[in-house]
Amino acid sequence: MSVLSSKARASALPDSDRLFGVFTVGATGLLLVTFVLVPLWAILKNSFVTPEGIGLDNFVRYFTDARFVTVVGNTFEVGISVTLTTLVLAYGFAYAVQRTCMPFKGVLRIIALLPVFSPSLVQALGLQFLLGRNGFVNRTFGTEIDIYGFWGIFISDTVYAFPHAFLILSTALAVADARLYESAESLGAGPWRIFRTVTLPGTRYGIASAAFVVFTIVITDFGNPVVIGGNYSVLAVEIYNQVSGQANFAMGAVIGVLLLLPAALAVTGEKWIARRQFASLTSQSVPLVPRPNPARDAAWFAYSVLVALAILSLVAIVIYASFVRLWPYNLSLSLRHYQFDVQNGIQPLWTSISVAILTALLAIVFVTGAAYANHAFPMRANRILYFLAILPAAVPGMVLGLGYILAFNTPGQPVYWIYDTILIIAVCNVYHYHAQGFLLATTNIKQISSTFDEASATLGATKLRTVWRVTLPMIWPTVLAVGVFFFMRAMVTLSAVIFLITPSTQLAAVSVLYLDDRGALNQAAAFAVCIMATVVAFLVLTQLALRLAGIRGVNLVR
Amino acid sequence: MFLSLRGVTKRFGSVLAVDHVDLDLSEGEFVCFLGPSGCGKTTLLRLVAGLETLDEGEILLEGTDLSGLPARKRNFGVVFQSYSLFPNLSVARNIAYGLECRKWEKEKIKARVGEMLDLVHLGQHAEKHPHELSGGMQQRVALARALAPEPAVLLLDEPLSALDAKVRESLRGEISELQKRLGITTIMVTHDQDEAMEMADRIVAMNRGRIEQVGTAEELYWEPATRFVGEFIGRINMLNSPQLRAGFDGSAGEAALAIRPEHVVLSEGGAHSGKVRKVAFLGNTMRLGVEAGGQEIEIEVHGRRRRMNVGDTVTFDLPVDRVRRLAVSSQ
Amino acid sequence: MDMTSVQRPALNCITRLVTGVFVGAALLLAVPGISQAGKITVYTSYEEDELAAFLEAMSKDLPDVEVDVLRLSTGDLRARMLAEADNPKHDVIWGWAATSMVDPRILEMLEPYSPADIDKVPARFRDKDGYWFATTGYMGAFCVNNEEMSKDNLAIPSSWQDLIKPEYKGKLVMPNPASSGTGYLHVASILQMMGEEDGWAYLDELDKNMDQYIKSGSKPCNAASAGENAIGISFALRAIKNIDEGYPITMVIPSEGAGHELEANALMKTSQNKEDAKKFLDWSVSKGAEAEYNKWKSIVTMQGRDMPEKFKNAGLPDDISTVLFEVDYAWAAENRDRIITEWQKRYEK
Repeated sequence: MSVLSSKARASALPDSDRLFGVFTVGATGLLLVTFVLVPLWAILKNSFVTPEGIGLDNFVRYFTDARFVTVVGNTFEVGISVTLTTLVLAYGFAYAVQRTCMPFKGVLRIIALLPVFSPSLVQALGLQFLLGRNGFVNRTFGTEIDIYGFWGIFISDTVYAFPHAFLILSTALAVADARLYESAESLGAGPWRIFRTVTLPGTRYGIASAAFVVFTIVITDFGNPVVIGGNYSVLAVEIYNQVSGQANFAMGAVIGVLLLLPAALAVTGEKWIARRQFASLTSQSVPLVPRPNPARDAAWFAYSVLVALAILSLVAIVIYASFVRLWPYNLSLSLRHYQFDVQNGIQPLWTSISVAILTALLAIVFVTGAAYANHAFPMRANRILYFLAILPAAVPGMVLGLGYILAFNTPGQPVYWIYDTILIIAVCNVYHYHAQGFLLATTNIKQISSTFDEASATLGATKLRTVWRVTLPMIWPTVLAVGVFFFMRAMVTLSAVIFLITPSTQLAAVSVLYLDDRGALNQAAAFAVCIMATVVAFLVLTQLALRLAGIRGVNLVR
Repeated sequence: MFLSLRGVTKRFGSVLAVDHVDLDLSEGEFVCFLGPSGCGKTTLLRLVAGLETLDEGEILLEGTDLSGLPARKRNFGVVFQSYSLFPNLSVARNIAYGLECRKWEKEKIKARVGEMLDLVHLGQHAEKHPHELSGGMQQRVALARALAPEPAVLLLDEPLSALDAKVRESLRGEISELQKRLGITTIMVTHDQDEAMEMADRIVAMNRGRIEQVGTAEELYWEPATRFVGEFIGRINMLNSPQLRAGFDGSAGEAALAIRPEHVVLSEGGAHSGKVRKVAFLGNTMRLGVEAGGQEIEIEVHGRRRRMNVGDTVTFDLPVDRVRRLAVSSQ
Repeated sequence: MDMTSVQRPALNCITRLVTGVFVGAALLLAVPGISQAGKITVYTSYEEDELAAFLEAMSKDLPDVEVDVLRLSTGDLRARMLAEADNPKHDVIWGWAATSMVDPRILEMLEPYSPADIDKVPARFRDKDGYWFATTGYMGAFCVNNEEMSKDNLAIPSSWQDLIKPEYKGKLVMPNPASSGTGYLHVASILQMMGEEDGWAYLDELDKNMDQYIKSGSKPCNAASAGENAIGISFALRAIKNIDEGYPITMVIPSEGAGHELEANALMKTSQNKEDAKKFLDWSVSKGAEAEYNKWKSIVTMQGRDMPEKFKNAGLPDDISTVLFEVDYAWAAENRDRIITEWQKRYEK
């Protein structure tokens, strides 16, 4: 019996699956500790540094400040309202894309993602052009809408968070077992009942993940509140005030620690949700293919177009502004803003593309690797791993960027060799947006029934073989979507990387910032348009490459 | 013994899913784990397969302890309820999968795959992908895939329950036949008593993580050891009312007394009388629901009889040798 | 998701991608990042357009020194330099707020250096121990949107006192001193100009007219230029540039005097190439540099400048010393925390 001999070997050597598991989890953990925990600690430890030595004085001082309650209240007000709104809007949009037969899905998908690949600065600019006191709406209709303050932040953050939520929810809605729907229907359940009893529970994990992502990125975003927030103070802006305004790392770190708390809560929440999640794609399930239903499709199409138009209007007005002589006073068309008089001209755009490609490749390996490790090897360490994986969502970019300097800018440091190269910028991007990519991949992996793994194991396959032959072939569209997401983020992100760029690694988004800083708003808009065009071109080319490789029916954007 | 389970125990949190199970299988035997959902039968199978780890006890294959040996090294073939064919691989590649894992030579793999395809009559579907096949065909591929690497034991986890009735029927026969032909020791999990009774050499009736009774289909039907087995396999009347229990021992307070519906004898001037409450005509059989002594009792009558109507009064006997004394549960 | 028909090419794709990562990473390692001889790294907060002009002039004057420049806003640059303190990447700080330069944590990183021609820069624009010297600066100014003013039939304000008139209620916007150096410059100069008690009383009045405190220093002028607000308290250069761009605004230098900020230069103690760094600093006070400064900056500390036409058009007097309020930088730096805390307590909601 072959069993006997292999048994003897099994006890003599560590099992190769265990080795693979330990290696994957260990490597993931090591990377997360190195590129998330170490830099975070490097800056957040400042919160304990007081003139009198180590202590909690900074916290006491901040918590007893009368403004503290107001600012925390504001932060939660924005966080919760934006999260709820975004979830509802994005769920509807994702539902329309995945579960109906409405036309122009491809275009609508790309529009939904526009806010991810336009610099956030440009979004706020668009909002100002559109809804500002002297904006398009007020000028055209003679209204006196004042968006500065809560509503400005609310609208711009909703737009900003929308694609993040859409990506996760769309992945969650992409997979479904048609049999569940057929049986519900045959039991006489109406559409609303089916939605409540089948659709909603099946996407619970996605909803929870999206809620977490939206909430944390909203409370840590300072780009929008800074531009459009008026006198409405939120915690993320407080960090900016402390660190950039007053060079007070200690107080900035105190607020940074505060922002980590929701992430800690989310970890507990995830455990609770994941227990109630079932794999909706079992091996015998029948993929749900939406059937045409003219009335329903038309209704969802109308809804999607409405949402798309809202997003598009913000971008369109920026594009328009990039072609006029002087917004809003001289609207005659001109190309003069496309002659960029920044230091390196259009060169940073090429650097950005290299960084973005590198970021996407690293993310494909390490972020989906992390999602897989966390899912496939149930170990005690996994709760910690999960926490580290989603922690970055709760970290403002500025904190992460400065943390990278403090942690890695020391000769002799094990990773010092990547410092000052575009590799560290890419690594920073990967870990800055780690949570979003991780949850995107996890949402998909969790939907794939574990019986595939088990079947593979009982046939004698090692975990490594299972990954290569079974898991990857099933999830690779999501893996690709993760890469695309990171590519788009890397093209426009600013807050962390401005601390890591060097004179020879200037990025396109930074050029937009320069132009905006010096008041050349139209030129900033024009540069941003170039970035967006690059991303769209990249998407189209990749899709074309897939087509040429004979792969059809795969969407780069899930 | 070929395969032995000794004190096998598995807990999920505070729930005892499998509770000190002992069982012996001889080589070439076909055993069914039968029980309602949640009785622990699937968990027991997964423990044997190595997909779950034991909390206590041991599983021995020809005297060698398997605990600590991961599923992929046990050389057991497993067929899942949900086929679990790899959707990205063709039928042939699915079947070859286990052989590739074992590093068989290309030629040998090819030959073996052909052999297996013939075995399950799917020769012409080799290059199709699973989604192009019907459920029954997919399950046959799964069977071929599990058998291809010449496993020591074949484990079937509700292999037929996802299929529709007709297909189920024909696959039952096919699996039984294959099993006999290959002489492979097989464990099948099912909640369907007909399936178990038709296919298994021995049935292991399980309830709440424990074995209630092990035996052939006949043994389980005619001589159920416990109330659970009696009720789960076939139909049975529990005699609760003191009037019906009269005459069966003075100690009748504890033991459960039961009789199968077909063993109740309708007779003029019988010892008990009751009113007909339900009549079901099933062809050769008529099933009556009769209220007697304050409880309802089911009576099955065979052959042609005069027509009964609801409201009729009937008299019947409970033959002493047919009334079974059942333990409340196995200890 | 169509999982079935795509498998093989997909795997190839993934294999290629993975290979790509490692090849890519290997290529990147070849990219040199550390400064070499003949090359210096300069950190600056000069704005992009003026920077480009200065560098062009510099490369003509110093053809054998290669200068890599990184530009960040004053606050971000300070945060970055403080974080990099253990292993600074730059050799020279150029055109960076003097009120930030006097931060002891920054001073610690500097090495005193006085270029040969330093006497052209009056002593009050230099550190007494020679750690830094300022060649340029910017001054506070109001940007007033003409269209918004005429729409409401309002007179263009000419002084700080004008700004607290009730008719400007809700029309004003200024930078938040907690996040913006320009904002702090204004608050500090008001407190110095009027004395602390009267200064705070004035700021209380000003707050009543304020629409919002924007987070950055140039934004108020941009907001006024775009018509988002009527009056932006900002700085002169921004006004001049925006007028040049074509925005319908008027630049107002408050008659009580304008607060101002100096843009200072300094040598890093840790520079690996001090020779070239010093050459660069020498150049920063040279005739060639001065000529370029004159074209771009509202304040040039070196004596005897020619004011460019667009500055005059915007309303800058030939002799700016007549409109400058002399700010006490040391005082402003020392009292920063106290003043900002007080300011936030009073005006941040």
